[in-house]
Amino acid sequence: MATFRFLLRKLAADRTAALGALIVVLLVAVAIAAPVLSTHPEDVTEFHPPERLLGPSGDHYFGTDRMGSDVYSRILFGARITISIAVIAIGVSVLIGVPVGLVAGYYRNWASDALMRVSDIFLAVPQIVLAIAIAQTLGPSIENVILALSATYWPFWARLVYAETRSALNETYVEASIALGASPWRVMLLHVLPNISSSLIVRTTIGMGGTILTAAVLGFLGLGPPAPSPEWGRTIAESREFLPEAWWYATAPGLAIFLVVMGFNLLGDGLRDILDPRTRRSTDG
Amino acid sequence: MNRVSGATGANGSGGDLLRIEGLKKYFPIRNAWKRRIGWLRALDDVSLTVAKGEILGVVGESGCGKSTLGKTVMGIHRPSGGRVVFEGNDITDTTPYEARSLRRDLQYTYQDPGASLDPRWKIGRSLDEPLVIHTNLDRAARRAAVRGILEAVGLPEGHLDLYPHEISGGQQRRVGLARILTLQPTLVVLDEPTSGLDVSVQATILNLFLDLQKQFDLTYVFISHDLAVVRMICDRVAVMYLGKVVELGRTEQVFDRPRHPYTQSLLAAIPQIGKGRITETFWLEGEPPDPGNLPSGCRFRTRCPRAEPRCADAVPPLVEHVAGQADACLLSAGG
Repeated sequence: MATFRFLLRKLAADRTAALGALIVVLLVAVAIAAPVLSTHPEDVTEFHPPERLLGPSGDHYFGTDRMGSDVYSRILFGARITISIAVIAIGVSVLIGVPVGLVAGYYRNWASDALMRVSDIFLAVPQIVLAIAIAQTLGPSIENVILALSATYWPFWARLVYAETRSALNETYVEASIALGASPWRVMLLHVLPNISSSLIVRTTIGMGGTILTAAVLGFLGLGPPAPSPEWGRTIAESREFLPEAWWYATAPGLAIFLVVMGFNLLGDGLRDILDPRTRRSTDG
Repeated sequence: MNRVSGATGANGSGGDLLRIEGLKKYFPIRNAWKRRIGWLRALDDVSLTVAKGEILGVVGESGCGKSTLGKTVMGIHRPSGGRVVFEGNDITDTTPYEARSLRRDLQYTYQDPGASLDPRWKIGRSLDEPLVIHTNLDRAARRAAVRGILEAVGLPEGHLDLYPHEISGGQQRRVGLARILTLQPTLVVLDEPTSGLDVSVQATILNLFLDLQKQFDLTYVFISHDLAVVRMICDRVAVMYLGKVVELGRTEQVFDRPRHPYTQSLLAAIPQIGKGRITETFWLEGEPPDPGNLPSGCRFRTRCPRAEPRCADAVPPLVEHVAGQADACLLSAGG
């Protein structure tokens, strides 16, 4: 807990990281409180064709969409979809990638080579292309987006943990535990993992931004949850034909994606400065 | 100190705790394409025995294989050949984890005890770990054992809640020692136990080693390049040069009448009050040869002032030419 408080204090001192943290906290708060904050919660599923494509006003902060639904309310509910996709996809990637990387890094035999070659193959194909292919094959739904993202993201964690484990094994304290007779699992889980956790946390935070962006791309391409889902990428895709007249229709979800991705990246950068001083940004001198 | 009768320590004493037979450790040398282009012979046919209760010093220059010897015996490195017999059990090809019941009494302290403690673990947890691995004691019993050891190495109990970086180098050394003593081992390999400590701390740590030896009935293998310290506390000493033992015998004999030219040059390098400057007495020239590309025959011949053509023909064996002292030099056999 002392480390957590230390982290908070450091974050507060770094202005850009604090901004990132604030955006992330707001995103979570908005997603949880969407029914309370939204002005027209029923518009997630309801249409009001007579009110379609109205500009921003006191009643509709971000105007209405092609079905006459309130864009502001739909964006708030879209945050829920975005968060659940990102959290679950990253969680699954970490759950697959971390054990793979740990085991492949700890043992030095053909099995660990095989594991790393498999993740190399995944990394050789651009992640977005692979995700599109998987999502296209499985059909549009939230579950399939999560599946496509997890299947393409885990090799990043496997690679990271593999490299970090290999360098941790050169540390004397790891060797000392092995010399003492500690079991491989004990060494991996109690010595290696805690000592590589900071770079893991940093990459996971930055990875959240990337995952949200990729999820939005899949939604934009129609591979995300089907209509009338308020998913942000899908909303932008729907708004295209009404540009530039109904500018608010595309701007609102675009701004939401931009803010959230930037928030995670700023937070990740800040965490890296605090937790992983070896790779400090060059800008802070 | 008549525990040791012969130079190799085995003869007559009957109490061999550790026997090393022809131990080899070769590291592959690889080129940029990871193809093996040769072997680095860090240990080449090393045979030693350690009798119960003695302190065996292992000395030599940096890179001569002292630490590799310790780590190969410990199972941290897998030996390329030879045998390691501890307490009558062959533990040659076992990892510390696989053979943890056989290896429990054989423990190793690191050269840098600060680095050998997990930076994220409090001292108390690090001291507790060996007991968790090797015993079925409950938490209270483990705590009691850790407290007892802490007192024996002279550390206050408050240190249990500190992190390794919060204590001094000498205290880290004590923690490193306490960590393995909780298991009550019989043989402890001390790897450069006094390096990086200032002289006064060195003295207290050495006294601590000797006190603990009496208290826990310990046997030490004392790896060091500090000849003065070795002379002070070791019963026997093994001199290593490029992966081979070149001289082995009782400490006072080796130090007073060194027989191998390498030992002679090493001893000439100890500064002594009233004697000439080291630069005047030290005649060992040049660097040791590349361990990946060793000279034929005697490895020392390239730097040996007494080298003869026949030194290039055969590797001289370690032979006990005088009682209690063996050396590996052809000229020593003739003269």
